[in-house]
Amino acid sequence: MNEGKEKSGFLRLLELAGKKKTKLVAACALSVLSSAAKLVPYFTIYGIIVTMLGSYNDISGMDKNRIMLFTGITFAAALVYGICAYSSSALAHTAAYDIIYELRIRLLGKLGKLPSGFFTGKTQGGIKKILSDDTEQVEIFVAHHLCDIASSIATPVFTLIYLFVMDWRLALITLVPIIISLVLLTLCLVRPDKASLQIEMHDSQEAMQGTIVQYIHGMPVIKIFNRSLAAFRRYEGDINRFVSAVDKTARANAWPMSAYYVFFGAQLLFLLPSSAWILSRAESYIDYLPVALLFLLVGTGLREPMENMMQMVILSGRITEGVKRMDGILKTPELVCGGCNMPGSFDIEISGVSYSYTPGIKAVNNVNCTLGQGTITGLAGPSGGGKSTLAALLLRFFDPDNGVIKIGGTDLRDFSAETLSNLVSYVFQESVIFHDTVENNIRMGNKEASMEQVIEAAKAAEIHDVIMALPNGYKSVIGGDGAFLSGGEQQRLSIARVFLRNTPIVILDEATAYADAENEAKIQNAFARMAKDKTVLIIAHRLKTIEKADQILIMKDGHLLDCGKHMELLARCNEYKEMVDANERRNNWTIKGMESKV
Amino acid sequence: MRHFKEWFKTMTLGQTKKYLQLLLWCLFDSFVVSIPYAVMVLAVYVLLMPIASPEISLPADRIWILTGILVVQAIAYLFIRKKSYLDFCIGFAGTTKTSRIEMGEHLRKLSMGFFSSRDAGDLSTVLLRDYTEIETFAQQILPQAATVLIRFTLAIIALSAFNIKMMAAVFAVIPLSLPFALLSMKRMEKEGAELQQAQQEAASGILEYVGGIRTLKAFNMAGGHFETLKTTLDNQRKASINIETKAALPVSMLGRFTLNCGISVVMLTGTFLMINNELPPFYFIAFLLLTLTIYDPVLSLFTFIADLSRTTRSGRRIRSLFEEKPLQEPSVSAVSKSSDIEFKNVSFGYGNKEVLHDISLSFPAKTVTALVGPSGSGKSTITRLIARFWDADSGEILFGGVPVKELKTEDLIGNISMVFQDVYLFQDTVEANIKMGKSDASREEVVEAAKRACCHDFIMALPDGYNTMIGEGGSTLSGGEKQRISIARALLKDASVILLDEATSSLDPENEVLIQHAISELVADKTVIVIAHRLQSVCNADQIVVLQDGKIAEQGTHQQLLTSDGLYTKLWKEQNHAGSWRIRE
Repeated sequence: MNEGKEKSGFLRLLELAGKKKTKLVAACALSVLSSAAKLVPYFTIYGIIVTMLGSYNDISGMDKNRIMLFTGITFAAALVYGICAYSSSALAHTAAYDIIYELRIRLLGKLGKLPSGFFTGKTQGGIKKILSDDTEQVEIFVAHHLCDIASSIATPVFTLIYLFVMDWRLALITLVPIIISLVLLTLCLVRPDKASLQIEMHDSQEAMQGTIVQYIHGMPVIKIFNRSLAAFRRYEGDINRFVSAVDKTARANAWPMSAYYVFFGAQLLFLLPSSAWILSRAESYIDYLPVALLFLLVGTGLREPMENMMQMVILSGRITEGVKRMDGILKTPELVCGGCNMPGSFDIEISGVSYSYTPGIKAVNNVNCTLGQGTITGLAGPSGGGKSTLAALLLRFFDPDNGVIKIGGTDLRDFSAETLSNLVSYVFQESVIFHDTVENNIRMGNKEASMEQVIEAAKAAEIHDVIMALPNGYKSVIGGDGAFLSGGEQQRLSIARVFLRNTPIVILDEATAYADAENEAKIQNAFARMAKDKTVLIIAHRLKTIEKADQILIMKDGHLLDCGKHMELLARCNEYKEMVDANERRNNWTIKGMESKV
Repeated sequence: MRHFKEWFKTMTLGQTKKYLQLLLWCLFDSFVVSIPYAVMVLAVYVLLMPIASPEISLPADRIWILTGILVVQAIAYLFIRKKSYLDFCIGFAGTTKTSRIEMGEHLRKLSMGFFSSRDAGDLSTVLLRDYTEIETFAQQILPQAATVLIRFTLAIIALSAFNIKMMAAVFAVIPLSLPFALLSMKRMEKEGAELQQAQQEAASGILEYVGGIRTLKAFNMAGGHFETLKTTLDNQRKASINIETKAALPVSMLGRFTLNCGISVVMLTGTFLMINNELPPFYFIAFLLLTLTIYDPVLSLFTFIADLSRTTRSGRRIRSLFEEKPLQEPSVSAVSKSSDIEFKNVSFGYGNKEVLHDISLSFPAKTVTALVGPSGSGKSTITRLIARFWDADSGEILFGGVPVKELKTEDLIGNISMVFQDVYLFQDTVEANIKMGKSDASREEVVEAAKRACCHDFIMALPDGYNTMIGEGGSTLSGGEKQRISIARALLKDASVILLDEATSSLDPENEVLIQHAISELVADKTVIVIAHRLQSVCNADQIVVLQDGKIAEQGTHQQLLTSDGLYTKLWKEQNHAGSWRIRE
């Protein structure tokens, strides 16, 4: 990408179009040609009339060959028009879909290279919108508008030049109504009170859309609280507000816009008297008459391409927004990876690490600690305290703002992406299962694994029996083949993946286990197996889980408050004691109050 | 014809009359726009007069009359266009508005079950995109159709007065080009189906990729998976290009060519007739001039026709929403005597799949009943049937001794509060969100409810306290905070029956303790039906109902169930074991 000047909107789009530029230029040229061919009949009819004029009162003496020539030209022009219009559109569409395809591939490829943290705080829907909808906008623009713009500008311009050569006076007259209508249109768009109407229209439209979405999404709540009438009133009110904004804007613009249309169609009104006037003063009536007829004809033919041109100018502004959103992805810096291979040991050393999502608020604040190879570290603390951010930093979802994280003495940033993914693994809370066979889903962990290893991993994750009960066993396609897995089963399948990966460091989130009460014990068993002989960091919600851990880290407000064994912390850390107490209370709560404890 | 009528009704959002009015005005507008073309023909005639009879000079008065007509036309058109412009901006917006509001009123009456079984995103797409689609389409096609109609009618009348044979020549190409338009439409349907398939695959491929990107990256698989997606996208690209190159070919190239050949056909026929003295020279010129304005609107119409199927789909989606039937409601509500709830031999299924089989249960007033069992056993279906999301397929559900069908929805729902896991907050102030429970509540009542639901402290810490905007564009609340707001709502509503779905999603212990505290406030002295995930929290419920595969497996108090040593005992042991789990023993 070129440094320095940032291109935007249309120019940036052409830049993104890259190699397809030639196709686009050809498409535009063909489009200009086709609209020129469309104007040909105006000239041939003019030619025929002139031919007839020579022998108007004695048609038999008319130059028939000339008329046949014009007929032939008209026919050829129809052919050229059909061919050019079609090939222009075909070329433009092909180029457009090629561009979209390449853009999508580039965007998707880029997504694969962005730090995982990029996706935090972004909805899948939002990213999908950029990939599908915004790129489609490019199609509409490239395939339709671009060529239309070219032809709708070129045609009137060439025609006007021709008219000026024929007779500059009448050409000027032809321009008069066009100029008046342009002035009217500009007035309409630029006046400040009109601008405020536009803003109100835009705002009320947004409000209406928001209300509609809430009306639908909130309907269960609305109904439960018997508030549907009130909600409906608001829904109705916002729709009315939008329509009345449309109404107001339309009324404010009605006169100038109508005048704009009237003048646009009024060429004849200006041309007829002036050409008659010039004719009456012409040296030879019969010599000048053809010129007058030409203007009457072509002048009226000019209206449509001019109208198109106006629309195109308005449309071309729309592309900017979508291009900007795509650049939001394309221009986000990628993580730079070093080339270091597996380290000799798997100690994790976190020194002076800070990270902020929003400037000024540190989610992790100057944390220092060491996780020894083969030890289990528990991570506890209130939600929002920075536990998951610390884990995300270990996985290099982000790079720390300050400080450094080292594995076996090497900075995370110096590992190659592949090495890092072979070093650390993580069981995500939301299990992602791909539309593929069970086997391939597990194999994601390690492409080269033997079938025995796959089965072994499935057994370790306590999912083997479930798989064997599926219609095609390991070959069943999940989601098809009648192979459906419950939430907990999907979770265990994704744990099997991690088993197969067999990395020396694992990060676990205990919440994963009890997202599904029925599978809780099974997932716990799998976790316990996974933790053997590894460097483990476990984010704990139930403190019992980490009672026997080698060390427990307490995080609150981004700070590492304390670090030690269970007994040590009980003795010295107030926060820990309070947490243990809250745990206790939570576990003993019953819906009917405390009086009848079991 | 009936088919067309039905279609027309769909596409006009049921407001056929209004649309016909708009169409009528469009016709009038097109008529007035066509006047200058007639004037042009006359002007040419006048200008040719000195040629036709060399003895006379240009009749200036006639030119002035024609100019006068044009001036009058322009002034008249200014007014006509103003109304057309307003019709266009407001008229169509008005029809959409009317239908949207009707839709809102209709949706309001549909059952809760409808909303829980349909994707809210899809429904909003209908209300937003499909309506806009129809509006835009009508805005484009109506004037286009009007222009075609008017120009044809005028041309047929005027031209047949001149010469029938020439008229035939002018219109000959239109039936010839029609098959190309139809062929395109057919091809479009076929290729369109393929494209749709490719689009769906690409869309779900993209979604899978974006949704799974972190996992893919964690396993260093982003590249490999990317290859599959690349093929899918390439298929979509090819299918899209096919539509534009193959399907569009007949209408875009041949249709265009045929139509524009019309002019040369007129030239040829005219010359021939003129030489045979069947056509005066001026008539020939008139024909030539008028043919110029005939073919373009037809071509535009063809292009719209190709687009028709997409818009028709939008129209159908809107209509099918209107066709959803609300549950039957009695006009007068029966009087329920208490908040006892009873199921008598209730069976219920979603579609063909029965999920509850012959359930008989009673939930006495002011007792706590816990529903326990594996997912899919029918626990939440039971609570939803009580709130009349749907009606039971067979059997009866009684509320205070009265069948729920005989209660008006507002009376039934007025007695029930539901606290579920997925909390929906409106883009409004905190206070307004809590006030959902009771619209006329005073600020004191709101604060009181918030305090009891353990919300007050975090609300006061928000930038504008109770007046803070929440939801999109406002402050964001954590999952635990949202749940407590929903409990505050329910507290304010103070219904006699509480349906509760105990959260499974994990919160930190402090947050959970607060929620538990709020729930304790809510359920005191009420008829409570709770879907329980952690057995510990319901072990002192008045009755525990263990469900399995839509049937009652066991029923009784905690102690009774433990002695019977069935499914409950198994679940209880498992959970106790899991609760004391340590990652390392």
